[in-house]
Amino acid sequence: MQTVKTLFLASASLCICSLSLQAEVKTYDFEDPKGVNNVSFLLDAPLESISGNAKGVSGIVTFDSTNPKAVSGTITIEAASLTATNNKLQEHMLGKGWLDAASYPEISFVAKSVSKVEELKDGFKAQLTGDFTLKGVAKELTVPVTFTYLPRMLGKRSNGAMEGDLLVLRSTFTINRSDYGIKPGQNLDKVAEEVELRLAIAGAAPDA
Amino acid sequence: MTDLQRIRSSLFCLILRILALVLILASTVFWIYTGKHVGFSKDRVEIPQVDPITQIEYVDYEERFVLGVEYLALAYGLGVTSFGLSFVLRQKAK
Repeated sequence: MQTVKTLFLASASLCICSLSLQAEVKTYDFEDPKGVNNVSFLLDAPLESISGNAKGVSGIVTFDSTNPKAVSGTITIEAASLTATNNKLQEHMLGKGWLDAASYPEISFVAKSVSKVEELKDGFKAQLTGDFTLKGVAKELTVPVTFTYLPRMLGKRSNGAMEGDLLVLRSTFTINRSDYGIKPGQNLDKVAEEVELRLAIAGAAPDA
Repeated sequence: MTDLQRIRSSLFCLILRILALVLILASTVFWIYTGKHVGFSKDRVEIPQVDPITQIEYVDYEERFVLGVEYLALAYGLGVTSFGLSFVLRQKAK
């Protein structure tokens, strides 16, 4: 009888443990009606650097705060949302010769694996490997990423409309435009080959 | 050259010099007024913001024209050309 009781208790506690672990895995939606999520780009050019911003960010990321290595998901940027401070520059940038936003409307990053995880006070720092697609060309990239986990902060952000958690993703990395077929070897005197991308986005996981 | 032609020529030279002065002064004043931007012209201005919950830094844009140095250089070039032309014409009139 004692053995049965022990077995029952052990299996019950295992169930509770697995349930609590399951509860840590959440799906975060990065669609942001507030217009805060953004990806900025910076590249060298004569006289002054060219910079701009994209706010058309969306995507779904599954994140387990107890096991950050299990992160998966996709972040997508609407190419047409790329904004520069000069209309002519923006027109050129989105035009056929450069990004061709009409033919390639999305820029995306699909997470495949996580390595070199370092725990921080309110999250994790890691190297995220995934497929980065720009102008229809997909290349595997490993980028440094910081995950900031903000439990129970969705209510505060949505003024109480929803309760849940927030996940902030930050990353800064550099790509070569020629790797993605953007005027390879051309206009190097006007626009640098390297483009720095800075990503700062927050995803929301509302309570079920 | 008659006196009337000489007066006309002097008047034209004076107009060219005034035009040069107006071009240089107006472009400088407008450049200072729109923010003394040492770069190319902007059609919108970035306003840095920080989200209070996530601490994400982002920019909002204000649709406002900022004069860049390319227009300033063009105005200065036209001004100097106009000023120089007035001297050339004056020499010819003499």
